[in-house]
Amino acid sequence: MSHLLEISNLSVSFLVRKKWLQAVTGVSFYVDQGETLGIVGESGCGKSVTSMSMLHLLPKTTSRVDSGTVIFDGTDISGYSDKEMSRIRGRRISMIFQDSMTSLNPVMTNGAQLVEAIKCHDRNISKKEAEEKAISYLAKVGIPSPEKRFREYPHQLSGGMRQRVMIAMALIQSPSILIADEPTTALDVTIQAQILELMQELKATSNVSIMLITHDMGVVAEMADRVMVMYAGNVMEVAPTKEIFANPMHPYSQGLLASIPRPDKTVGKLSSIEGTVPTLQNMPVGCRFSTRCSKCTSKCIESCPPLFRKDGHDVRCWLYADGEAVDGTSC
Amino acid sequence: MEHLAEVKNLKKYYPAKKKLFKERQYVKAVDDVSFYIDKGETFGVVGESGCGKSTLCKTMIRLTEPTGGSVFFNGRDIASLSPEEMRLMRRHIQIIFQDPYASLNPRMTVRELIKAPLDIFSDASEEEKMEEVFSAMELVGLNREFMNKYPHEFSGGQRQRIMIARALILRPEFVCCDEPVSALDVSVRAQVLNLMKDLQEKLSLTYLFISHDLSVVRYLCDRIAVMYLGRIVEIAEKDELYDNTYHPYTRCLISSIPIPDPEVKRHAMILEGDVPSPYNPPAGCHFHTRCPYATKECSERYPELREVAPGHSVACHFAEKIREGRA
Repeated sequence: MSHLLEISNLSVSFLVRKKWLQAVTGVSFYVDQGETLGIVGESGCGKSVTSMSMLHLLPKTTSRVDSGTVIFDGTDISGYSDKEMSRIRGRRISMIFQDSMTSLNPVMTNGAQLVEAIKCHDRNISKKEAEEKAISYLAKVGIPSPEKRFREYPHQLSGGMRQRVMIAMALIQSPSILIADEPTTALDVTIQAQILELMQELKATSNVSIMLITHDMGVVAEMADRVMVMYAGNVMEVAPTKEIFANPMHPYSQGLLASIPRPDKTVGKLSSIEGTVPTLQNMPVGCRFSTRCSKCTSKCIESCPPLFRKDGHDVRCWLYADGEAVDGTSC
Repeated sequence: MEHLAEVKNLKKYYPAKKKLFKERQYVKAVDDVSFYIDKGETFGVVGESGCGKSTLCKTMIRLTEPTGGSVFFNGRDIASLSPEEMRLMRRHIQIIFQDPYASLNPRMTVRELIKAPLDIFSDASEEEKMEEVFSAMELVGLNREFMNKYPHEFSGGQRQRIMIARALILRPEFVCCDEPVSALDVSVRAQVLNLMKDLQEKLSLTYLFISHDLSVVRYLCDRIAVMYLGRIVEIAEKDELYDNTYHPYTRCLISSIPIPDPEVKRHAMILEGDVPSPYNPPAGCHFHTRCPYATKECSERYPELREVAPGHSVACHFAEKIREGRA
């Protein structure tokens, strides 16, 4: 079966002080119709860069895609021009950003922004129809008195409400894939629970695939079907959600899960991963986690492992070298 | 037993813009809050943004002047101390801020940053001060070689270590921690939390720990207060609060946290609507507009904080009924 979205061997570099530094190296993954893929990792691990470069949203002057193909719905979109891309962005693949205050235009009403999102992909729709559609979507994402909110500006809404407007805007063209980049990070827990519930409801009714980018393992556990763990620009482990929480195989995934305090249990002492994430300037030659890994061997320092497939996990670690190597491209 | 710190009816009101022909309104950021902290314990304050938890922390140690009430520290009311007395008191009370990027002067080296409190309070010689700085750096796990570096050369976790070293160099008894780990990544957050726990044991510190993250609070704190719109709605021992919750708001808050385990299905009590504006909090119980159990009485009379079990206080008219499922 072919996947709805398939990314292979994506590498992205940024120009930092006249030097090209690779932020994302050899990232491959897929998203199927109707599934939620959770992408987790700490800040700077490349999870946002991956999605932004997929949509050609990175600045052209300071970033470049070194390699990689993006196949969406059977077509390779990695070489698309801006014009071709703008027909896909927002219509077939749309995105919700973390910070709703800076992502919405402060000098346009909520309604005008929604109408713009409708009209730029559908020139023939009448103003009245577009407005009605916008209001119906505001109602659909659970905004009370949508006619009133339609005429208001983003600053008149609370953070949770603004995030709902963003979701309405992202879904208004019924896209196949929704990329949600830390959609609830800026929100309080009670509001986060509302938004997560809304996203689950909308997913159930529209069968949209979701790429959920987050650093919160709790959110992933709740929302995702499969989880991809990233570290320092590499994919470290991919597995179904239940599998990865019950049986994390990569030492980094293990460390990450062991270092989260639990809301439902009292734990004696948290384990933590020593050290810090290596900077782009001093990436280790071998496995990128080797500098912090407790199971590091000389092989790990010398060469970077490919992804090995074992027990339903794809793991980038030499410990699982008896598995089948699925991805020859290393870091 | 004498408590190390005791807060009584503490109030902090911020004046809102006065409208013509209308009486001046106040935002009651902290409204009539009372609690105590014992020596050696970690007291947690949790709540959503805008509930007044940071204002509580700042008012308690007089970084902003309280509007009313008193704060006893070792039996002395610090709200009534003169500026000079307060200055001397500050060496016993230190604070760690949330944002390690904004709270360290970018033009000072690590050595100067950590030494600054000694320059203010200590008459020791320069060599003695440097010895202190090195031992503080060692305490928080910073390499001595870093002393001539500037804050921008460090990662978030290391900066937070600098902040902790600076707060602890005067050997304070009491440290206010205002969301110290919120800006950090998970793996580094665990390092800093463990460091804070170890230091508490080693130096017999008392912490006031402010956070919006109920999992972190459960890990670190001994007793916890939950705030909503400037008031404490529930105080209890850690496990008592999580396992034997009385107040409906606390319940919603706890059940809203996603649990990092797909096998555990949580039954979230999802609240309708948003936190009301603090300019104009609802009459009666502040929570009644979002509370699924609210009755007419809740909108008329504010429920006082009352003890429902030893060491467990709740501000809700129907706490017992709700807990037993009779409401």
